[in-house]
Parts: sequence; structure tokens; C-alpha cells
Amino acid sequence: MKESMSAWMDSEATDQESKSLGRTLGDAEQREAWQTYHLIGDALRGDLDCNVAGRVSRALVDEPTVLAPRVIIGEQTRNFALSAAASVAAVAVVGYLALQVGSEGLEGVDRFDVVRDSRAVRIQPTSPHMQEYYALHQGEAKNVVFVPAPEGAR
Amino acid sequence: MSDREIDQQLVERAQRGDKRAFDLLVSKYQRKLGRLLSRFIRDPAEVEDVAQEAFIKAYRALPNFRGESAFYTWLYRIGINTAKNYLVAMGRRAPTSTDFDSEEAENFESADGLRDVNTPESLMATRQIGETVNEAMEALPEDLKTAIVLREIEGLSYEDIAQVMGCPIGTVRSRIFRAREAIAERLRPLLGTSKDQRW
Repeated sequence: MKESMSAWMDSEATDQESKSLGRTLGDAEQREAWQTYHLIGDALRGDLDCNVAGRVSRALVDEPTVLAPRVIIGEQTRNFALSAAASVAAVAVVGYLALQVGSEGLEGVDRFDVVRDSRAVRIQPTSPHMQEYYALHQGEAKNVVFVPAPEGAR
Repeated sequence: MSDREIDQQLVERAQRGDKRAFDLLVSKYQRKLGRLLSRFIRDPAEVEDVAQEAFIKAYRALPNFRGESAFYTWLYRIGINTAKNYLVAMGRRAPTSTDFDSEEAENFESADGLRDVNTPESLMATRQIGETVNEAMEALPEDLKTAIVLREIEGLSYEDIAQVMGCPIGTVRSRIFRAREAIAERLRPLLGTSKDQRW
């Protein structure tokens, strides 16, 4: 595994090794290898003067952990398109089922329809009691259109 | 996976709350950033202070890093700005924009000539590390030594090293790893002595 780490820091690891190392960077042995190999490279280039890793690491303990959303524009756009398509499909299915139920006029269930072009819902109560209830709450339901209960409703 | 992609992977882990991933970036770039800062801050102790501050600023700014530039280029800009603010606060001349430009970030020369001050403690630790690495290099078999020199000093790819040495890429990879491990083995007693003295 350390050989993979050695190749990884040289940008010479295989894709599989890179993925594997990316997942297991918490491994203390790998982290030690990473730090020591970089130190060796710097030493060979005669560049050892700045050593702040320990200080920074200790300072970071007191820092609030950053949590930033992953932003990849292409992926984000694709995800948005997929979720929008899924939402439209869900609304279509629910709407279709609701219209099927409404047209069958289930007993005891108030019939409702979406009023086209007005973003309103039309409700036809199944009883005078419900009609009264809807009338009392008309103020809170501005997008609801009430239709009088049919003749003979209880 | 390129060097930039490796950094990006570590940045994304840090952005998801993994502070240890950021530690690895610090280990990788601390000396490079220090070398940059020492071009206009002479005192090594001050260079370390400014480098530390720059890394902390970079950590705090991680949510704003979108990967549009390489991590080191971004860190370089933060380092320069931190150094400018430091020099202004100390009443010294801050570098102008013409003193440095972003392209230098990837390829600036060593500034050894500017440095002539070192604390005894850091000088001794640095000297010990350097001597140990040199001794370990001298003890390496010639093929391992050549491979790691071509990689670390000349910056050649494994493919180029394979051509130079007349061997398969897999052999190059193995030689470089074995060279690193042989040197690391000699360094470990020095590196593990103090938690506060992480390299």
C-alpha cells in the first residue's frame, strides 16, 4: 500500500489505486508515509527551512470545521434537470389519479378539480355541513372555488 | 491522476469536514510556501509565522475554493496577501504586484541567498534531517539512487525515467518506492521524537 502512496504522490498511481487511497487517507501509516516522502523530496532539493505542519494542525483543532457543498457545475445542472423531470412526472401521475378518483365521485369524498389557468381548486362539498365549513374558511382559502352541494346531499 | 487532481481530492475531503486532508496539503506545501515567503521576509521565524497564518486563512476560505485554479496557485495568492499585510503592519515595504505574479507560483527559484538568519534549534533540526537524508542517499544502491534523483530533483515522469534507465515503468516505480522507504527508515527515529516537531 505504501508503494501505491509513493506512486500516487508522483501522479503515477493507477485509477484504482487513486480511488482506494482517496478513501483511506485516514490511515495513520499512509499519512506518515505521505509526510515523510514529501520531506525526503524537499530535503533532496535542499528545501527544509519552513516547518509549520505541527503548528497548523494544532491551530486547526480550534477552528470550526468547514463544510462546503461540493460544486461541480455540470453535475449540478444535470441533477437539477433530473429532479425537475422526476417532479413533473410525479405531479402528472398524482394529478391523473386524482382526476380518475374525482370523476368516479367516491361517496363521502368531496369532489375537487383544478381550475385551469387560475391556479385555483374547485371543491364541490358532499353535504351542507361541509359546505358551511368551507364557507366559514373561505377567507383562508383564496385559491379555492366552492360549488354548491348537489341536490339531495345530506 | 495528476498532481492537481490529487490536491483537488484532498481539498474536497477538507471541504467535507476532514481536517486531516488539509494537514496533508500543509505537509506537502509548507516548505514551498516558506521558500516563496522567504523571498521578501528575511527572518525564518517570521516566515513560519506568516506561512502558518496563510494556511489558517486558506482553511477558513476553503468553502470559496472552487477548483478553478490549482490549489497551490490559490494558496500562493493567499500567502502573498498575508505577507503584504504582515509587512505593512510591521512598517516595512510590502511587495508590489510586479514583484510576483501568479505564474511564478508553480516555478519559482530558491531564495537561499536572501536568508542568512536561523534559530539554533531549527538550524540543528534542519541540519540533522539534511545530513540523514544525504547519508541514506549515499548508502543506496546506484539504481535506486538514480531513480529517486531523476524523480525528485529532475522532476522526470516514470516513463521518462524508464527510458533513461532502460527498464520497465514498473521497475522505476518500485525503485523509487524502495529508495524512499530506505531513506524514511533512517529518518523515522528523528521524526518521531516530538509531537510538536512534525515535519
